[in-house]
Amino acid sequence: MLQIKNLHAQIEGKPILKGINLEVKAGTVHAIMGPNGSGKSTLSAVIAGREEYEVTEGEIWFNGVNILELEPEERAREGLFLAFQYPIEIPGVSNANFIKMAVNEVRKHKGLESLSATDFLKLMREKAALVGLKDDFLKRSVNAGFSGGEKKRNEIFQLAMLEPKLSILDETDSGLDIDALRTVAEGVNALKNSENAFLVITHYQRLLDYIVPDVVHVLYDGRIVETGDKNLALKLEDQGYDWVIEKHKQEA
Amino acid sequence: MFQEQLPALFEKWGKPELAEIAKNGSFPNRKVESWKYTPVQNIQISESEKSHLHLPFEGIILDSNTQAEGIQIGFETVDFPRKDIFDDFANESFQRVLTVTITRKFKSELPLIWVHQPTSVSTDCIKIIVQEGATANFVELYQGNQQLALTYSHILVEGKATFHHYQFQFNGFEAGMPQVLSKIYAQQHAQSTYQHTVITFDGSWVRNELNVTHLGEHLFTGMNGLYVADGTRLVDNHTNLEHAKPNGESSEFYKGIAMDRGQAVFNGRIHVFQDAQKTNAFQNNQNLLLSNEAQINAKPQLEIFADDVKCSHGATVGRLRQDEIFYLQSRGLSKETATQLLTNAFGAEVIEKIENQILRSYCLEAWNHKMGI
Ligand SMILES: Nc1ncnc2c1ncn2[C@@H]1O[C@H](COP(=O)(O)OP(=O)(O)OP(=O)(O)O)[C@@H](O)[C@H]1O
Ligand SMILES: [Mg+2]
Repeated sequence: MLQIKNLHAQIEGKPILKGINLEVKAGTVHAIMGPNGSGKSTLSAVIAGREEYEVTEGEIWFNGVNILELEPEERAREGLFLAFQYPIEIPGVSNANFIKMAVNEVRKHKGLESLSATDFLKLMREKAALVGLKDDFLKRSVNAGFSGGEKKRNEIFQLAMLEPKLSILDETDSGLDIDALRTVAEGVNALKNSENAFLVITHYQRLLDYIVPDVVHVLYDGRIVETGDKNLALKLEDQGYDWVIEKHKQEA
Repeated sequence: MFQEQLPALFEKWGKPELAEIAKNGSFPNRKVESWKYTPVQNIQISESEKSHLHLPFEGIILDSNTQAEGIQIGFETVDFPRKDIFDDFANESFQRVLTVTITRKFKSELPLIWVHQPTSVSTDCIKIIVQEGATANFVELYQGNQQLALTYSHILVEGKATFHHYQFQFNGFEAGMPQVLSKIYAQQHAQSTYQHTVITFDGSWVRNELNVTHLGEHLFTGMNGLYVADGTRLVDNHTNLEHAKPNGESSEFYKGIAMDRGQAVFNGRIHVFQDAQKTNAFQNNQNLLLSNEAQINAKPQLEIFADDVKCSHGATVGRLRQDEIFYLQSRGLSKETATQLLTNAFGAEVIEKIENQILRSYCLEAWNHKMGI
């Protein structure tokens, strides 16, 4: 589904990603862990198509399409979704309106008709309930004045509405209380199937207790330096990153 | 050019005295500070037939035949301050001015409507007296295209009265929108409310002068505005608030958007007199500049001579935020749609403040239509 080959990216002339190789297959969950500032959010932003980051080398293939050529909205319509680490507040744009436009864009791309008002409302209520968002959040402006946890739920709500093929969750767990974490994780698990995939960026094993990864990667200084199964996450939880840094600092 | 065209237009219209003024007088130019960014020569006049007006909402049209419980119609002379040649036209042509007295018996929920339908250049004038304790909504509507409406209003809001004054300067439901030079002189007595809202997003050349003077204490003045200059349109708002008495409160909130090669001007003067102690004056002006060829000239002008006052003001000119656009794009909306959505939201904030639900929905619908949403 997703293949990243030797990806290098920089911002304002400063190299952040220094040769990322990653392959994610349909039906799998990959976790990416790594110390602060190692480049996890940068990787997700580059995949989603944020302009500020300049890709200097490498390729990203998504279902047979070289998406580096595509605008962010085209990537989204192809089925890519990024749940932001810091969701943006957009005063004046209603959540319901926004998600309706987004859903219809994606449907149009798939050659489907726009949803009727009733069908849309029904779908929206169902997905809001899935992530534990009350209906009145749908009427409010996108993320404006939402608490940290509410913003994260709203990201997963949008994910549920758009049914992407690949979802990148950038620290969706941070800022969530224990119950919210479970709700959100259950929401994700309910959406998981053999056709889609998840890339879960997190610092904590907690989330991976619920969303069990098939593969775990460690990103350090712009490279994926370790790859393993779910036990790698347990080891990091136990021992921290010191051993990773010690082992790989020569290459940095 | 407009200035040269005018005498003939006035002649044709049977107003030789105005033609005379137009021939001999001088028009404001760049050297006049308050007209610096508002070139008169950009006004373009062509003649048109008066067409039938479809009111976009129910209301009571004000003219010499208006009959409504609690409304008295009369004719008076009114003198307007003479600052430019347009004021000379006005004072020359306003011998018998439609005078509307709104008494406390007026209980209708319907707005009073003043229609401007110039067929070339019109000089419209109204005097409104809102009697003690009375309440009314008053809406100015426009119809036309390449014509000019010179509109003068003299408004007196008596003690404890409430007057909501709206100017809807846009092509609402295809009625068209002429060019406008509007001058409002409002005066308020103690404990009254004057709430003004002007929404401008059509009309190739629009200048609004709003003057409010306080004659009593413990009153409130609200001034809200949305002005949008797209294409090659020009919109100019000059507001002037005279806080002449103590304990007055005012809130001014204007938002502007300039795109394409549009030009927007905002000048907000607030004058707090020396003995206007305990004045509470708030002014906020936010502008969105969406292209490099567009221009915004925004100038707050606070002149505060009292010492025990609360006055705050802020003026900003900015662009849309990249992170907001990216967020919307990442959900599948094109950059153009994202820009439209964010610009629409920026402007809608002013419209949302309209208290009257019917008028608010009307404006929102027209604004969404304008922005293609
Ligand atoms: N706009 C920018 N300008 C300059 N440097 C940037 C910019 N954005 C990111 N960086 C730098 O890139 C590096 C990687 O940042 P990134 O946000 O990808 O890290 P991260 O792995 O997501 O960290 P965290 O775990 O704290 O979320 C950091 O050193 C950061 O300071
Ligand atoms: Mg990060």
